[in-house]
Amino acid sequence: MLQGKIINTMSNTADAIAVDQSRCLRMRFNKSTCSECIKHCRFDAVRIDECIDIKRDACSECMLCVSVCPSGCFDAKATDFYSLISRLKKAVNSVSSPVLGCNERVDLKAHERTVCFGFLSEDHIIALSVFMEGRLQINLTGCADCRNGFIVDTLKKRIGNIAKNTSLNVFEKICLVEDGSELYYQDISYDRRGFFKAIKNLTFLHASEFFENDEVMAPQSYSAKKIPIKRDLLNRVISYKKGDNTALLENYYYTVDINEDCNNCFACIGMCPTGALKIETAGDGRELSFNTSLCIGCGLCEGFCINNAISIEKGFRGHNPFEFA
Amino acid sequence: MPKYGMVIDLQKCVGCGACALACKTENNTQDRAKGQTFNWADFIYKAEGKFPNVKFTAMPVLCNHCTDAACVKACPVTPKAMHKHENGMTIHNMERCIGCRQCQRACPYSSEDVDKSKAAYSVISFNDFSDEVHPFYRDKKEVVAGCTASGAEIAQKAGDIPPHRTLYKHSDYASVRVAGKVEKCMFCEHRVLNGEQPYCVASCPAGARIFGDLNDPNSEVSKALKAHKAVQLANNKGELLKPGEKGTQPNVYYIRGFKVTAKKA
Ligand code: SF4
Ligand code: SF4
Ligand code: SF4
Repeated sequence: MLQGKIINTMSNTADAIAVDQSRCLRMRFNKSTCSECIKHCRFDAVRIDECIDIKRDACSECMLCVSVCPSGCFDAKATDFYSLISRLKKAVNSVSSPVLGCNERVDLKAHERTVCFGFLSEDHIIALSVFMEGRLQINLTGCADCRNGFIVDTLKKRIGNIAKNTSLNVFEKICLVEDGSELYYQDISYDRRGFFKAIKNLTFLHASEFFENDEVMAPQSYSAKKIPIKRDLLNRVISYKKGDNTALLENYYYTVDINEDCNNCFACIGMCPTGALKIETAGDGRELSFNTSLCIGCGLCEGFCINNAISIEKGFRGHNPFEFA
Repeated sequence: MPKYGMVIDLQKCVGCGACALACKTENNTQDRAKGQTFNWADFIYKAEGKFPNVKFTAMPVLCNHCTDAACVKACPVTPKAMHKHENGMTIHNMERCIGCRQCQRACPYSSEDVDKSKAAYSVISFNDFSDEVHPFYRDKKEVVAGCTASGAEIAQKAGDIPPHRTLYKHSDYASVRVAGKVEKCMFCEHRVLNGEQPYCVASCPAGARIFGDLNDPNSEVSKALKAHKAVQLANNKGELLKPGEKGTQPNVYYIRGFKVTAKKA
């Protein structure tokens, strides 16, 4: 127990949100009216004018901005979601139903901890429910007393949406535990070797996190094309999950429709933040081609095109979402 | 704060093109291709009439560093990639440019494709997304087969692309551009900040280019503008702003235009 505690305290790094302004749709296109982060922030902490700023004193670190931003402008510094998934997957070897807790309430039982669960977007939850073999318990027993307690409703809504939009058995895989008596927690007992290995891994992890935290977030070049982690997670889900992905593709992916007014000026390629649009050589001409797996449906291309030649729709109706067509 | 501008004396200019070449070496611009000129300093050449009554004009052109710059208004990113500096220069920030070409569309002195639009020049050029800059110095084909080196070989021997690269540093722009971004004349701000003249001005053998502070009544540019009636270009077709017409309020002026007439025998 004590050993578990040491490990937990050590992984509890200073919490903060990294902002990459080059990803913000408003920074990219002055006519964009996106205000997801502002709308969801209960503490008026996000400010967007000539730059994006999170007022540290006002911010409660509920991480809702991180999960609602369509383009990945915010990053919860202390989470590496990919390694979190793999650690949770590993935990399934030792316990039947691992518990995910938060850094705020280290006193509550958990096998792994992360920042406030507000950062779990529908895409994150889908990934957890597909990649986790067992059932994951999310320890929300401290939320009632926490200033960020409102995220519980958000999580419920998100899980409800997933259940409605897809055929994933998300209610069985992801279990929101609000009542302490319903929490099923099994200790992972470390032997000596396991303990030192865990310490070593954690110090290593801690060091790299510390480094990242200390780094002044160098603004990315605006022209760098990058998909947000949410899109990457879903891409991994649909390439991993055998069988029918229609529901996921229909509800979480987008298609652009390019009409005959397009005069191949290719200006939208510059506007697109993710690289979903590209020039393809066709015969001796060149044309616009599009890749669904890279599109986040932000609609910048649609709003930007001066010929009104491009529009986006939900869903995917082609053959391979990973190919340019 | 100075407000920089340029005055070009057309009677001194001999149309030799030294400024254009100087600019290409200083700013390491690539060769004209696919409707993009990549000439930050360029010319409008006009030959009119019929021999012996011919008129030939060579007018050096460059970014006008307009006070009411259309390119800046059009740039959709925040903070603007194409922006004005307090010293009056219109400067392009490479980091923030997304290559949407709105500036090129909006600038009255630019064309998206000079070949298609038959424009004399374009202030703003665009580096295509799919092309690497300076293809000549990446091409392994010998320039004259079996006889000379290839562009790539020269670049490799010199250790840079282009081989004659002038290395300079500026907070907004790099000395060589990259794919997917526009480029244009920056009034050599990297030189001006060091107290030097723009390179086209420094290399004009005829002294036809005067650069300086339009706000300072004692500067050479102000004196020249006081002494002579000046005109400004309205677009890249060579048309001039009419008296009273403001346009984008260009800050490049032309003085001492002239007409040559054949003497009747
Ligand atoms: S293709 Fe359009 S909607 Fe999709 S990411 Fe790019 S700009 Fe946004
Ligand atoms: S000439 Fe064109 S590029 Fe130069 S400042 Fe004026 S509008 Fe901008
Ligand atoms: S091409 Fe670059 S500088 Fe020009 S309008 Fe677009 S982002 Fe601005």
